[in-house]
Amino acid sequence: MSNEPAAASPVKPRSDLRLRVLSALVMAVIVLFATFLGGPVYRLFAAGLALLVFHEWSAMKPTLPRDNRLLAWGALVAALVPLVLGMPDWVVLIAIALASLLAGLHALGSNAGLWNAFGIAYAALPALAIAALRGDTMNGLIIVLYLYAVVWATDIVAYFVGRALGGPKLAPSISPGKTWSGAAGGTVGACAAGVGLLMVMGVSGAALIFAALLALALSVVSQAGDLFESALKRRNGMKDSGSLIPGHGGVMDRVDGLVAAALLLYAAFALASMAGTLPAGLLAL
Amino acid sequence: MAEITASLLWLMNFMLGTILPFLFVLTIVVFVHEMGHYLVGRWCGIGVRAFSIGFGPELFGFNDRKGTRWKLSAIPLGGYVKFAGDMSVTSRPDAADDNLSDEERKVAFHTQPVWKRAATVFAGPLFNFLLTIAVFTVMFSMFGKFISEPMVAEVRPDSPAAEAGIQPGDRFFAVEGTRVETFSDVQRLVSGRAGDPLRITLVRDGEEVEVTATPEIVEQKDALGNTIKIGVIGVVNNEELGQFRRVEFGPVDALKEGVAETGFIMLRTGQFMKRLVMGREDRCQLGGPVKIADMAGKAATLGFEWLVQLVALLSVGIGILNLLPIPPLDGGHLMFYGLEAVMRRPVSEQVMEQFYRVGMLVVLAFMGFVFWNDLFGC
Repeated sequence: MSNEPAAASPVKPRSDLRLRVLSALVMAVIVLFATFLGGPVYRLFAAGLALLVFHEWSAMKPTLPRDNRLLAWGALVAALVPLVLGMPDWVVLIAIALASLLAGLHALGSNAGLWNAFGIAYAALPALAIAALRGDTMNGLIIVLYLYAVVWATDIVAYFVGRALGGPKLAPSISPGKTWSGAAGGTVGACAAGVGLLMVMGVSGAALIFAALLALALSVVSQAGDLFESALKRRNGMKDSGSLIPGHGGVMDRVDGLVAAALLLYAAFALASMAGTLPAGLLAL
Repeated sequence: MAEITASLLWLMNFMLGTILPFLFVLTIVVFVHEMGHYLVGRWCGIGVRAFSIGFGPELFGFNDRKGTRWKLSAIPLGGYVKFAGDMSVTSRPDAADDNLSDEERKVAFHTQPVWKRAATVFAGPLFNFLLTIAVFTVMFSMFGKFISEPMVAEVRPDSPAAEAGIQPGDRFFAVEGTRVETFSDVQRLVSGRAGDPLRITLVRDGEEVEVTATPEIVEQKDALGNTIKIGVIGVVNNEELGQFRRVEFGPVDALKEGVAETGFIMLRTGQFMKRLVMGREDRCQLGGPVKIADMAGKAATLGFEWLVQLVALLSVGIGILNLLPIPPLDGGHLMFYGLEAVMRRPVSEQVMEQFYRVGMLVVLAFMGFVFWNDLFGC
């Protein structure tokens, strides 16, 4: 009850956007640096992401018993060790499966929820996916950059197109801000970004057309991943997954699209490797 | 950057060459199966709430005028029909049964007489068998069938046939008492029974001769590049004695052949499964999703008719698999309905619940087993 002017204010939108952009640039630099280096550095980076994601996942249900959470943490860390050490994919997959299973069985036994057990999978599997896709080859670098281009373009273009065109909401009960126009725009932007990147890399013809279709699928899946994460937050009464990143909120919020898209891309390559013969020297897992 | 282009083309080739044919084949078989449940369910006056190709979250769908939601779901490894009053896709009655309106209850699945429920459930596998018969009927009427006389032109040395005393010039009359008309009739009776001593009746110089031969296993490659293990006795036919020729069929005969062929495959599948359980068959002959996808890819390169034949084979296989008496499979439901018909009251819900749980684990374990088998076992 003082004599302050009525506009004693919430943060002005302009500086909010500036903070967002700045924050995004810093993140991009860190991510791209690790990505370019590839190999063990990137694997460490992926593992670090997994830990951050699980930290936020686990924090969504703070009432779960402490031993449940600690066990899940231990299992996750143990599962990430073979990943960081660069062991074969199937070894890491089994490690993650066992970690989730262990945490899950313990939770069932002590009548706690399976939340953290699922969290292990949610955090660790995409880490394996991006690390495996990247490997340490030039080929892998391009594939991962392509993935980033598709996922980031989806987010960024969707945001601006949605703001410009408005229109019917995509999933109002889950994400009140998203529109169909934004979703469509984001997908188009993703195809353009993915294709653009590969064209610069010298890809043309059928491979490029396929890359466009693949970008479409990855973009849709990335948006589904985003909605899925939003739905989870909503069910737990949260708006942001955390507050680690200034201007953006949580880490999970930033990687929710990447989580889904990386899994799909990795699954596609992994299935192709299992079924057919591998041309020598190609990205196969 | 030729490598990245090559990687993309390799992935594209996999998507178009294997995944697409696989989805084509699987979707047709699943669609026909679920259509069986849907149509017969509707004919019995049961309300259908959902018809889904695929499991899991819905990708897109639409509602028809009768209150059924037709949809495509994310996981393309099956499908389901959800009837009024069903809590889950395993057709367990809604726990909140009292929440059903009278109207809803009238068309609910679990309130129908047991014969209607059994018919609706059986219709799935039945339609699968009908699809196979239909495909074969069309194929027989379009392409006819190649046959040859059941003659012995040559006996391989040190073969079971040689040991049994079969001689060139012999004509096969019967195997284990079953009359044979063509050379392939003989092959069919022999190939699934490696290791079993078989009573073979021959005609030699106008007289009947009986011998006993035990087929041995040989490896061959089928048209789709799979290595198959079949039983042979070591008899070879030739053009002169065998009189290879093509027989053509009119529509009725084509149908009879289609039914016969489907029946043969069903018997053979049952025979294989029995022997597999007894440990007498190579588990690598079992095909899981990876193997089927691979076959679909190879069939696609050979031609559309090959893909259609694969659909027919898969359809009858899935029909048989679904009839196994394991809840939540169709056969499991039918088992309970059979009990209900005999006991004149439904099986207790707790008992069914337990069986569903155990059965679900069995089914998942089996699926995991064949998947593992496909990738690492062979």
